[in-house]
Amino acid sequence: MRWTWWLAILLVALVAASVWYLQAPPRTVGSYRDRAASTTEALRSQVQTARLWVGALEDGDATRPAASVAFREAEADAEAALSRFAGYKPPGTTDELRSEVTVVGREVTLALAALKLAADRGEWDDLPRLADPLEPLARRLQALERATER
Amino acid sequence: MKPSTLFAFTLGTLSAIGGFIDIGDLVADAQVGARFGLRLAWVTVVSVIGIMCFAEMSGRIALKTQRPAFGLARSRIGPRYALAGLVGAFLVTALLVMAELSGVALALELASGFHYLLWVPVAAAFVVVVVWTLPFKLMHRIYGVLGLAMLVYVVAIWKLDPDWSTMWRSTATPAPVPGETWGAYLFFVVVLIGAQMTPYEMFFFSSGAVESRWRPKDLAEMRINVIVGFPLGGLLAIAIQAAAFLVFFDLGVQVDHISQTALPVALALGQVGFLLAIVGIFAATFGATLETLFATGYEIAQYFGWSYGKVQPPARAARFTTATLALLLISAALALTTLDPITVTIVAVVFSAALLPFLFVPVLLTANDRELMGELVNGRLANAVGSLTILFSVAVALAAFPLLVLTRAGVS
Amino acid sequence: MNEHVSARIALLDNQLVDADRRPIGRIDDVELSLENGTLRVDSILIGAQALGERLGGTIGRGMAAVAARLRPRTDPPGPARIDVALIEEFEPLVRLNVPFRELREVAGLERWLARHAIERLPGAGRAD
Repeated sequence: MRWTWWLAILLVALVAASVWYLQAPPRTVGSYRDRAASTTEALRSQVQTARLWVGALEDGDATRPAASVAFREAEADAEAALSRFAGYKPPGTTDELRSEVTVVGREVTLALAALKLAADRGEWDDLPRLADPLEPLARRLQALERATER
Repeated sequence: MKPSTLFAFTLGTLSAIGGFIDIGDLVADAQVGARFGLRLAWVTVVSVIGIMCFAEMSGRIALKTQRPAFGLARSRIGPRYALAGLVGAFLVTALLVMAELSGVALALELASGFHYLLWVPVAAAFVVVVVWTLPFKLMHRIYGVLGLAMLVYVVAIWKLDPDWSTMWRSTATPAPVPGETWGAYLFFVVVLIGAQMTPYEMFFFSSGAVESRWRPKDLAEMRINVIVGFPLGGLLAIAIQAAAFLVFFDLGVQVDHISQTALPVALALGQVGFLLAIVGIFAATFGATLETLFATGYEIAQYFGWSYGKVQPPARAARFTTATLALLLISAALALTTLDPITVTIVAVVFSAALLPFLFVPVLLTANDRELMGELVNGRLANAVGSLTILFSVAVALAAFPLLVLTRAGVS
Repeated sequence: MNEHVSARIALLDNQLVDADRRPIGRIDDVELSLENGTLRVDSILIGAQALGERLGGTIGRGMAAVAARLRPRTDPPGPARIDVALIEEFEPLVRLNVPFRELREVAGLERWLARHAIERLPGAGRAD
């Protein structure tokens, strides 16, 4: 049954290669730009989700407990996406791209954190005001995404 | 139709809804709708046809032999092959138990606002109490009726007032939307197949048929359950895709949470609709927790020939009861490690898709055994559809892992 | 028992039930003896230990080792045996002519779990 050993070794090597591929940081300018684009995409998704929830609350369509859960998730996900991107070493000429993404990313996490805290404290009336910066943020993220992909 | 037939009909239909829509669907359908609109709706149609075919076959095997399909596998295809199938199916369904249990906790989180990890032990305890105290049929009936709340998704589509021609154009375009790659598109084909053609539905359906003591005369009843139940589940799946399409697609929202799956209903139907959606999500994941849990217990018990099931006192099936309880505890512990239930779900359904051919082939072979099946042997239709489904599932299985890695689980 | 049946088809891997049709286990292996040039099935072996020893290889040995450790200490070592004379019928399931409670050496784990764990829970019923 020698061949089963070879099969096992091959499988382990395949799994290791896959994990390496999935975890490897971007090394080329192209792949770094791809990660930047998907990070801005993820950030914009969180911003738009939060906006929908604020709108649903204003119209009395959603319940407050559910909305506070949603704000918590949006903030945590945006934070995670941003810190993952910030952890990559920018290759070559991408320093500027890195700072653009992280600057807008910080603004996004701050805005989402404000929503989450207001919901946790029960300051529901403040939400529409706190949600004001979300729309321009979404537009900036979309512009950045387009510029990055080009 | 006799009143008792009608009753059994609704019962089976309801449990089919609970069986088809589970955490995998709630996540995958909303993700797919938000990213690809209805361009993957055809996959749901294929899945429904495939799972109907194999559920009917395994139901027929159970009627004729009074043995579930998996119980026959070992004596027909040998202990080695059946053991490999058992290990694969066990790993996938055990992962799914964890994901479904987390889904119950996530529904309770949405209703209450308290973090879902606090709800995981509560959900597990609730599962134990329900399984221990309620009879098999009543258990199905309750989560089946509650699962009907999922129909709010169908109502929500009308209230969102879609442009039907856009919806139709999306449905009729089986290709990725601009800006998405074919890799991502095909990865989500695999995910939807894995989420909707789940082998545990087949195990559960046939073991349930054995436990309800169905006989060959119940053939019509069994078929009605299949013909009504699974398409209804498929309709709900497409409704979730459509709702996510209408609300999220233009905004570029990516779905990563159950809260987002429920949001379109809130926007369409207000708080009442939203609460119904939460009830539906709770019932679907709760039902699926029970089904995956039992299916895993059945798989093990049938391989080793232990007594199993819920129709007898638990002490008369001590090994089965212990294994099931232990699995529930392990799943709850796994859920408490803060492993993201959505990621676990996606990984589990990809593995599940890769396993499909191995689990379908023995069923098709058994259903074709004239000596065993007698007058209930497979006809041409069942064989044609079954073979096509297996061919399709082989392609899906071969592509599953390369796509998972190359697309980084659909990210790029 | 003088019936000539194919041991592989009628016995191996088939479901074994007691006189009341209660599942006991699967026929995991058979024990043969050579008598005047013909092979004869003496007893059937039940349990994961027998199955593991039959499958062989790393996986089979592992299964047998785990199963051996899970056996209650009061049971005699080695796989549980049932005399073929106790078999009542072969079809559709292999059925014995004695009830489970009289088969003291079979399914020790089932009994142990029932007695020490499951029966103690409220509403679990009795094993026998």
